[in-house]
Amino acid sequence: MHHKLSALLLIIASTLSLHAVDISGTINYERIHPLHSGSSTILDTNNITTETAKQIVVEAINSSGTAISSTTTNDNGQYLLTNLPSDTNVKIRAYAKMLKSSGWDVKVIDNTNNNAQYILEGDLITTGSSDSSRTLKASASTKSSPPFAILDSVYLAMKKVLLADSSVIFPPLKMNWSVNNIESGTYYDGNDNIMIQGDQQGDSDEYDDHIMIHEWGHYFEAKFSRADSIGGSHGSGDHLDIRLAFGEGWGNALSAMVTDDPFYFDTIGTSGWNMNIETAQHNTPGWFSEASIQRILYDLYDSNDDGSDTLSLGFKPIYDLLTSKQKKTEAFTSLFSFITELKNENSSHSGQIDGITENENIATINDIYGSNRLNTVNIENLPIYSKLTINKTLTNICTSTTYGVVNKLSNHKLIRFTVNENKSYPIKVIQTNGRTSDPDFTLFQTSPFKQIALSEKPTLAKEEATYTLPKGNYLLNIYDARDSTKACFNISIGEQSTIPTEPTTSSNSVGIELPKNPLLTLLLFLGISILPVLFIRKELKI
Amino acid sequence: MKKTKLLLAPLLIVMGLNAKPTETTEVEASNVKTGTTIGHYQKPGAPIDMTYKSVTVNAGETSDINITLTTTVQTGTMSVTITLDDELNQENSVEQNLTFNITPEQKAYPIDMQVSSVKDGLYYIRLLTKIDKGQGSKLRAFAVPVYVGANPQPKSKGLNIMKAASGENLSVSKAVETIEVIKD
Repeated sequence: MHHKLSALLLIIASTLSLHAVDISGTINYERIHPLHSGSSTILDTNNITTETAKQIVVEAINSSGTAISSTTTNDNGQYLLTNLPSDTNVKIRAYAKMLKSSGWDVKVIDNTNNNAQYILEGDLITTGSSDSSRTLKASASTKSSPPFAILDSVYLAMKKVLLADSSVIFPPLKMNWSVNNIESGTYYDGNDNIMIQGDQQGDSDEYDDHIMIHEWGHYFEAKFSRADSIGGSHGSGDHLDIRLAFGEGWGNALSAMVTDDPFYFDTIGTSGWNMNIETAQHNTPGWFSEASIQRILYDLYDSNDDGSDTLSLGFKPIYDLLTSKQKKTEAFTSLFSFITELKNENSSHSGQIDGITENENIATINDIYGSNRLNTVNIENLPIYSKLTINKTLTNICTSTTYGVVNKLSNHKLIRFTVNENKSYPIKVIQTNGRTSDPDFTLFQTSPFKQIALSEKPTLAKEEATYTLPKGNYLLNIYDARDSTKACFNISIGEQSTIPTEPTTSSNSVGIELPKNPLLTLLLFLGISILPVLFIRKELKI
Repeated sequence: MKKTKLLLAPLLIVMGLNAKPTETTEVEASNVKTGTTIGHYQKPGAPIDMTYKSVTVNAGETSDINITLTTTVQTGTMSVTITLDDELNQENSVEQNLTFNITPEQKAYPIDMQVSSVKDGLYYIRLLTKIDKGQGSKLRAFAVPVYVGANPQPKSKGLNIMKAASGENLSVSKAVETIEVIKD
């Protein structure tokens, strides 16, 4: 009986296997390459190559639209779907999505159309009775290749990180691209989205791999390191806020490290521009320059020893520092926090690291606050961090718009202080050179590092607030919301101050302020005037 | 009358106290669209920001488009090349190639355009900007939307949208497919 049952099962299994087939193949996409001419770069539609779509999700879809088998392509873009029913209509569907359990989850979606997931499909064709190969290609001319080109750039960046740390798990990331992303710009949103410009008649970035990797670098900083950058527009010759300078220099340098190509480019229709991250002319070098920082980071990484660059650390020491000491630094993330800890972690290379930074006109970096800076063109720039003592007034801290507004050097002034007693502390920022400014501030605890307060009252010439602070180190970031040419402040934290005492108002009191509109002020005056007159008339029976 | 006067005074006081302070803000008409790049994270390029006001109009009507460029550069030259979607007609005489001398005193560089279209739709004015500080130049591109009609749609509809069996929205492209039977 047992033997008959086994034989029957064997017959059934053999029959089933005769009706199962495999479909294999490759998923490809077309990539348009850049054409460089001097400082200009455009997309060269005469230089299109077929590339493989790596690590993307592939499914066999039946005539009901249901996925009956799923896999992912390998690093050669190849896939294999096994045990598909024979003589059944299926189509092969490739998603612009890389998905690996405990690995990554990256997809390209159309943010202008209900966040639709981009897919590439073949025709609904019978599987037949034999194994077959179906190779799919996304064409550049039909605009079906950009999602796969974008993913390829991201995969290159992820692989670089995985080489440094094979245990990394990348948080989900959505790449938002559309031909109708015409005014969106290309940027990382600080969370889990990268927006990508797709204007086919103007600026589109889907094939600009350095730009894709630059933006991915911001995502990496946010998820694995720490980015204190304040964002905003920036250019390579700018004197930038130190936090922005590092963030942008890092993104540019990463694009060169990942591709092992320091030639950064941005194609813009029939125009476009490029820069060589390593050899570009040193315009206004310094610790405030994203161009200096990208050169420093790339020189630390690359194997090309040139001039003052005699160091070839590779990527791992940079990755290790960003994900440890830089992430926990008690200063704002900047070149100072990075180089200080890099030297501490690689002390045998301190001299060589100093040589690289000195080539950018940056005096030896010895601490995370950039103390002892020697080179500046403007007295308001220094010190980078002012040190404040509780119950004493820090005087003559000046913001200025010498280099521009919003996010440039000296738009923000950085103060550090230590609290030794857990209690309530009033913070006062008072302008001393007039009433032109609207000072505001953000307050950070440094361990763990996070913003704990924001004070943005629309009050001219002063900003005050009271906070209960436990013992520890803090940073105060002061800025002028009115972008005065130059605004100087006295700053105090605590009870004592050398400045004249202002009328006492608690941090939560409303107080009575006159409205600034003259008509309404007049109405108020009339109201106050009429009331006693009416009372007197009534009492005197006039 | 006395009661009226007695009530009037406190009312005036309350009105004065509850008035909103700060600068007067204009309430924009609902047909005016505004946008700005100021404060946004941006990819590397020329250090220029753009702010715009774009008035929605009907087909055949002239729309006022107010564009303001700002830069953090203190000196140098800013050049702007303006192109319009084919469906747009320029109604005023703004040059398509502009050059501004950048000075520390001038904070904003305005470009006021008037355009029209005979057909409803969402169109764009594109600006390619360049800063030349005598030490190499960078570019930045901007696009200003022009809304014509009650429900203007973009020219490009994008790819075919369908729903997966799972309910997920899919944007479908047809592949160039090569099929081969693998003989045993």
